[in-house]
Amino acid sequence: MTTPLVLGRKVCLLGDFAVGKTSLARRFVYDRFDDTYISTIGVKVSRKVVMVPRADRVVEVALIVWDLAGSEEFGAVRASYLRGAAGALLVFDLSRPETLERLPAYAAQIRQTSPAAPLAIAANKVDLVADPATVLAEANAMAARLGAPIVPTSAKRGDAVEDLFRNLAERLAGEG
Amino acid sequence: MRLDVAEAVMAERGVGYVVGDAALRVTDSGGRFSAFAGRQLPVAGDRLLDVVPELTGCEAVLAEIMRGDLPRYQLSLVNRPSVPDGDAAGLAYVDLTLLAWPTTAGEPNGILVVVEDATQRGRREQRVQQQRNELQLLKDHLARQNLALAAANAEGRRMAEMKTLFVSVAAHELRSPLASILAYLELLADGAYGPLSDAQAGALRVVQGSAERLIRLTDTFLDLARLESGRLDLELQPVDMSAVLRSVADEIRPRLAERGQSLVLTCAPDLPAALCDPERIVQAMANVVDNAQKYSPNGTRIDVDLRRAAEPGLLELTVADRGIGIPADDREHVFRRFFRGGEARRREVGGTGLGLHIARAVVELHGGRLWFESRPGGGTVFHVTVPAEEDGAPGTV
Ligand SMILES: Nc1nc2c(ncn2[C@@H]2O[C@H](COP(=O)(O)OP(=O)(O)OP(=O)(O)O)[C@@H](O)[C@H]2O)c(=O)[nH]1
Ligand SMILES: [Mg+2]
Repeated sequence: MTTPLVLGRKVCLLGDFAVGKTSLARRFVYDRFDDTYISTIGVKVSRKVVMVPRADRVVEVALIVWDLAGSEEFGAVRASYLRGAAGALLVFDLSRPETLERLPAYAAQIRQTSPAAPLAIAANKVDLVADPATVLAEANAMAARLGAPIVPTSAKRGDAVEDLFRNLAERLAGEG
Repeated sequence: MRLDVAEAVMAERGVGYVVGDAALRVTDSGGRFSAFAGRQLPVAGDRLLDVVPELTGCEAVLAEIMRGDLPRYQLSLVNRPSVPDGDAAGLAYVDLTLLAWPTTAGEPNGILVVVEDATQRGRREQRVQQQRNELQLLKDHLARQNLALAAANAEGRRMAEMKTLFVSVAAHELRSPLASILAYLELLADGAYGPLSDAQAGALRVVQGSAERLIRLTDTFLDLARLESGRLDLELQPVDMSAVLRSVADEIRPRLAERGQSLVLTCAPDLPAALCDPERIVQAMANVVDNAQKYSPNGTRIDVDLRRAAEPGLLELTVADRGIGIPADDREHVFRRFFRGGEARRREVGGTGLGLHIARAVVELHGGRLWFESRPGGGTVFHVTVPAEEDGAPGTV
């Protein structure tokens, strides 16, 4: 028997305020949700291990989730939070389409500190919109431009939250 | 510096530290560190990443610092929830500073992690940001609602314009064939195509009456469309109002006779001419008189009076009926489009419910006013004012 390989990988959550970064992290790590909005300042770090099967062995990827405050400003403080990120989740709120417009700015932030980091986009709060098709069409185009897969999620109901993080974990495990 | 002094300063300032070696194993710790770690003071040999879990994934940064490539690394306002899944209550904040820590000569550097309590600052900043974000969310929400409302309004306006256009096109398309029907009916009635029997002449009169009603109806709709699109232009000229009222009275006489009603017209002597569009004012007056006739009981009298208004420069016309009056509930609706009083609904009085609406709009276009007074059981008096031609010459048409 081979012992599983454990990889620690830092993943940053980026996106405008109140799009649901903290909620996605909380759903993923603790499988909980809270309706009250408490804006994050600074950073909250949490950790969860994802098993990624590979041909010869199971790779355990310990995702170190960095839940940051929504902020477009890029300065020294922001750069030090992002430093060492292996991947990033860009989050926007389907019920506030303007939050999609700012994803390229967040992608640029992570590219500046970790040029090769894989990205994934969470189209969050899918439970709130009756017909997400139009916004999603726009978001798909944006995702294609940024070279990132896009996953409609609901931190509230739990839809696809696991898939979102798993997608990133698999790509991070690939790099060995 | 004495060690106990250093400890006292660190305790006072809420500062703690932990030192790790090149292999990221704890070699020393002190100050208030245990308070932030939420666990016992680490002991030598513990994994540094276990005692400062925020450093997991930062191994490359740690290596840079230990090599001396990066002088320091700072993380401000690291959230330290008192319970693991981190509700806001009891959220503490720390600032972390990482520095290279020299060890014995020849050995690679270790790392010093300084941990400072930033809870007060963190909570203050959090409150400010919370308020700012909530305010912005509210503003965005309102902006989205306004956008939706504006779209709905635009749609509503478009519908109203469509309706006006539709009414005017329909009325025009109806009007020309009707006019030609009426012309031929007249020729028929005059015997232009041969003599008619009494029965034929009678039937023809009924047809003519209906066709005339139809054409009046299309004219009403056309006027409404013109009024609503603001395209009703007036051709003002001096008009003898008493003559206007006489012709209106003559027009309505057959209908008065049918129900045993009478109309008494009284005009004050030496009145100036009114300044009006003659065609439009005839129509407005006819609508007001029509209305009185419709709502008057059989066998009653309608009084029409024309005199100078109390206000200078205006003529005032009153039309008084002896009907049941307008109920309080209906009063504010009387001039509304398509409004028909209870009486009309019960007795199936004809009409579109447009007459008073159009009359008032026409009178107001002239700069006059149209209003009424009514007492339940005491009848209704409609008042109309129209501008008089500037004093002097008595009215001639
Ligand atoms: N209906 C619904 N509400 C959600 C969802 N995700 C988050 N929320 C709510 O949206 C609000 C903001 O969520 P957070 O997770 O605090 O947002 P954030 O991106 O961390 O915000 P900042 O920390 O200020 O940047 C909270 O009231 C959440 O309860 C979701 O999927 N569906
Ligand atoms: Mg947050």
